[in-house]
Amino acid sequence: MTDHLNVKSQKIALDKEGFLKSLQDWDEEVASQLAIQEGIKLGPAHWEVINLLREFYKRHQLSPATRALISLVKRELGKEKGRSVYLMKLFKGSPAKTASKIAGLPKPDNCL
Amino acid sequence: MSTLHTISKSPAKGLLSSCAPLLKQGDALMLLEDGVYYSYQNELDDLLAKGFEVYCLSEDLLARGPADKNLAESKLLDYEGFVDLCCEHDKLVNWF
Amino acid sequence: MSDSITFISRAAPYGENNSKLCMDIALAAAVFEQKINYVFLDDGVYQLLSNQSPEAIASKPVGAALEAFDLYGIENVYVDKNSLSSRNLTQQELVIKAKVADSDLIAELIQNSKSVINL
Repeated sequence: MTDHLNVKSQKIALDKEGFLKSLQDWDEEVASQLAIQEGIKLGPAHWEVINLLREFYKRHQLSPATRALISLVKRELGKEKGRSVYLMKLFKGSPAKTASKIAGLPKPDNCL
Repeated sequence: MSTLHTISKSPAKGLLSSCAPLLKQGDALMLLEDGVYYSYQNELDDLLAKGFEVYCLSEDLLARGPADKNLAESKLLDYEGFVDLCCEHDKLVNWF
Repeated sequence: MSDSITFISRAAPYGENNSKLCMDIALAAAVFEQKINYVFLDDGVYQLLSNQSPEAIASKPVGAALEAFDLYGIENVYVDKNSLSSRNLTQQELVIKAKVADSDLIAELIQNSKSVINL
């Protein structure tokens, strides 16, 4: 994992797990680059989860762990999407961790 | 199904008044560290009158110098006795 | 005895870190699908005041984080009646819907729990 991204000739600092060092650095282009690092090409299905996560973080100042992410998606986007298999297909590995990273949130505290 | 409560801060912190209403029959109270200063006071009288057992860690009490008057009837236990007491209860609730 | 864990949160939100610690332990336990009771006692009830704006003291709003409890499946949330009334607070002023509980009810929660975290 590199320690920075190059976006529009700007150097964006990353921590050793690939999360943004400064959350203010986030924009949609940065999100796309972060996703590419994870081998993901963002589409509308990703964006609705990313936007949901960013709203959630703005309101609660928490990066949700997987269980909470699933409940949140179920509540806001419906039962079909509020399932771990749906989120795992969109965001590889641990969906809470990967989605938080791309959405420019801190690493979920309770992601064990 | 009994609980052992411990208090380890000075009476000035007011922990006894938080803890006491939550005791159930069969529960006991153990005073540790600065909590042993409760044994100098009559704040414990209510609990003792209700029949709750109150214990005090002897090492912590002796370290601070036992009061020669007003010492409540809390029972002195050494560390070994404290361990035994923990085993007699299902769980511990620590007030600090 | 049930297999629930009771958390007693007794600290006001910003002067010390205990409120955050207590919440973090509960959220982690919730991720492991433990049954949780969460009780606000003493100064802990101050965590529930609405309209906290701690940005100026470089802290995260504790009340706003508590609003996420239901997403973690933490639904049994209680607030001690005496702690509210002695601080001139009412249930209406609180940021989440906590059940108002008297000492007897809280004593029973403790008695019926597998373990108790008291911070």
